[in-house]
Amino acid sequence: MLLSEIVNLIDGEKLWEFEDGDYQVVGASDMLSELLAFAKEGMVFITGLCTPQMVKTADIVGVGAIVIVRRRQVPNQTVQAAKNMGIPLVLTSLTMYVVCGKLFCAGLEDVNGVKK
Amino acid sequence: MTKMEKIDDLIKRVQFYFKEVKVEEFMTSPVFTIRQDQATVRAKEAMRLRHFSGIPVVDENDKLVGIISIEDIIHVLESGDLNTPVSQNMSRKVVTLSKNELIVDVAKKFELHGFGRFPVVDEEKRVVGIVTQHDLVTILLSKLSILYVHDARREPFVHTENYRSVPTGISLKEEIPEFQFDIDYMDVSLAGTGASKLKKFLLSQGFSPKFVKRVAIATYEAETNVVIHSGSTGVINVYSKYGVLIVRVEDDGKGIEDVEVAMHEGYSTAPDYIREMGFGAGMGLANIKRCADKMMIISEPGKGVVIEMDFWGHENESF
Repeated sequence: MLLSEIVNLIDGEKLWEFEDGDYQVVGASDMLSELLAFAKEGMVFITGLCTPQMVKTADIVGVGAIVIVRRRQVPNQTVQAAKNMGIPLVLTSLTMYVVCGKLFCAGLEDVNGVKK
Repeated sequence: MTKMEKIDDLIKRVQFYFKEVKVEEFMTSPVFTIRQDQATVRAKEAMRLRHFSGIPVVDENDKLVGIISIEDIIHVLESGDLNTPVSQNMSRKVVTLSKNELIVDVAKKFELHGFGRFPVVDEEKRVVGIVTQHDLVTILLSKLSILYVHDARREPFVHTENYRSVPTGISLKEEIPEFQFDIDYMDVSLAGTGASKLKKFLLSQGFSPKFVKRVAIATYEAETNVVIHSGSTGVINVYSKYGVLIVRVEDDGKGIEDVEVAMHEGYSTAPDYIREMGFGAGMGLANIKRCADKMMIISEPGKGVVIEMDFWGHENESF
């Protein structure tokens, strides 16, 4: 699924001008260690965190795109970090539950290949 | 090797690292003593009930005059009278320790005399403690605060020889690190910078992305631990040796109280504000264990933490 389609689906906002790309795998967590434990290269990462730290952690494991849920003030440093590392960053006002539900229903799979 | 020889061997190999430890740090105190004019049967009962293998014997001024052991009791049971006073059946030849003796000398005394225990006495020969082989082993292990040793190749042996790898890495100091990074603990938002840099460095050196990812995750966790928990600066050193990549992360901070507990997934001592940032899931050490081919932690309260992680290429991660 194209990231632009995902952005539309979750009524998201692009936080910097990144290029479109294709995504298959999605994961969600608010715990960075957990991200390190389960992340898959190139996946979409859904989170409630918005610290620059979160972006750095995502970069370590090669996350392909980040969706920050429940629209909150995203610090400039976070956006800057994502931009520097070339990781697309999307903001939405939906809750994590709904974002996960929508993407799951759209046919995207989790890190273990589980899908609709 | 018998169990005792193994312990001796272990003691010999590790005593160098804490030769400064004094008797008073690891002796058992206060110590149960028996008066020399008491009946031997009381010594026998005390041993049975309290599982002692020997008891220091004192006179009416609490001064040490001998020691009575299970062997002495057996002797009395065979050919003596349990109602006779302890003084008749005890051994008068007692080797004692002082509070300030060093652990290395104690280890030597065990070796030299072959006794199971040594009473510790003050200047007036009053018994202030006792040291058994068990105390010695316990102090050595707690000083090392042992150490989780995880090595896929040695998995079958790990359970029997947990302590083998303890002194490795000490000589690393002489090697020139290929990558070095100073960890700044003052700024939590900088945590992970070292791991990030290391990742780029290794990729630029031609290591495979899969391999680099493992190294980066483990280093990231170790680095974040320094920032969140140590309250001190730290350093990441990376070497490679015989095809093995060694990442050593150390700090001079407050150390880990109990490494074994800290290894458990879900265990965390991180404060709330740290958790709000997404840290403190208690998965750090477990994550390192998962990523590294071998890991070693040396720590004790107040003396910092050294985590050493070894990585070697797996089949699907050709260099």
